[in-house]
Amino acid sequence: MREILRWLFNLSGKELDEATAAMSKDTAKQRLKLVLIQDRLELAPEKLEDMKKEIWEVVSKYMVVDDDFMEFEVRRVDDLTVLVSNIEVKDLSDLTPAPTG
Amino acid sequence: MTGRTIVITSGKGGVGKTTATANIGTALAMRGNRVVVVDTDIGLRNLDVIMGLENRIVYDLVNVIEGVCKLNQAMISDKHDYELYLIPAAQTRDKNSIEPEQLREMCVELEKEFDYVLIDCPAGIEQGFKNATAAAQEAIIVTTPEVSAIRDADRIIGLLESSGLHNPKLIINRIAPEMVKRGDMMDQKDVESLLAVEVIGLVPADEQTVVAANRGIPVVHNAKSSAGGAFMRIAARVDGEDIPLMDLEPKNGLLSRFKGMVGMSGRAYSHA
Repeated sequence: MREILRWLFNLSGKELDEATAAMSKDTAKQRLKLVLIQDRLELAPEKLEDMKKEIWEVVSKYMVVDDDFMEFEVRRVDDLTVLVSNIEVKDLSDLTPAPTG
Repeated sequence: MTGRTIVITSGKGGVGKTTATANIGTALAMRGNRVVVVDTDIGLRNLDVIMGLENRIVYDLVNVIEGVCKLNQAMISDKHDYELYLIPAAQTRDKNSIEPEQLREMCVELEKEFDYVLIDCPAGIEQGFKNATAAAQEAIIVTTPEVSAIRDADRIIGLLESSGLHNPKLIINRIAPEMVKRGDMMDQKDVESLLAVEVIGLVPADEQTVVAANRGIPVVHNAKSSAGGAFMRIAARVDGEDIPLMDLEPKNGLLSRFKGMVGMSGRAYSHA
């Protein structure tokens, strides 16, 4: 595969390493995303983790959700600060009915 | 006449607030506006040296606020044939020497005489920041494409918002196009998506900015400088012109060579 890529793009070994390695700006973006959430919420990192866990627990009472895929984002919309969460629903057919009482 | 008071701020120090203030101020004056730039970094003044006016200071901002001198006595005229003045910060006082309302009152006076009042804000989020932002109706935030500067810019955006200064504009300073190209520096889109504010200017890292500071002549005076061209375009946008942000290409890239061949240098573009 490497050889094919090298042949296709006429890259040297070093260039190929650079092209396939994670770009450091992506690491920066990812780290900033998390830091900005904490800053905007003025929440300590452990509190944020607690909140994530609790929200996950509540949602998983009602549907099967992926415990790895849970995204949080704090966005500014005009004057409002909004918390946006993306949670992947694993299996819609397996929706458990809401407990009564 | 009622001018606009714009604060230039960043949170983090050393990202280019003072350089931006000097250059946007100069460029706005070159465009025919009456401009006054006010250094509010009391105790750590620098706008005077960046503009090359340090030897002409008699009175300063605190003198004006305390009534020691008249407003126009503290205004140093730039050496050029356009309307640009500097009110320097006091160097031997501290930031608690003035109150936000006092600075606001002074700016109201200045707005009667000038098209633009630009306030160079000190780094940090303490008293000096509060003074500077209280006086302005608009804000320009300067950042660099680095994690620390972006984080601090985000904090500043939040603080401006809560003090009623909405829709700040962003300058991304010291962009290294070669690093952006190889994915080692965040680009405009990356920064925009993190901070969610409108970008008003992209300024490339340019050795000429350092040379300009050494000489005390803002880099907008250097027709060949890419940073100077970028600040000219920022001033045009501040002035209400709708010109697109320029793609910053690595210097020896094919595109810039091509542009050079057909005479589309950064400078020529800057007057578009």
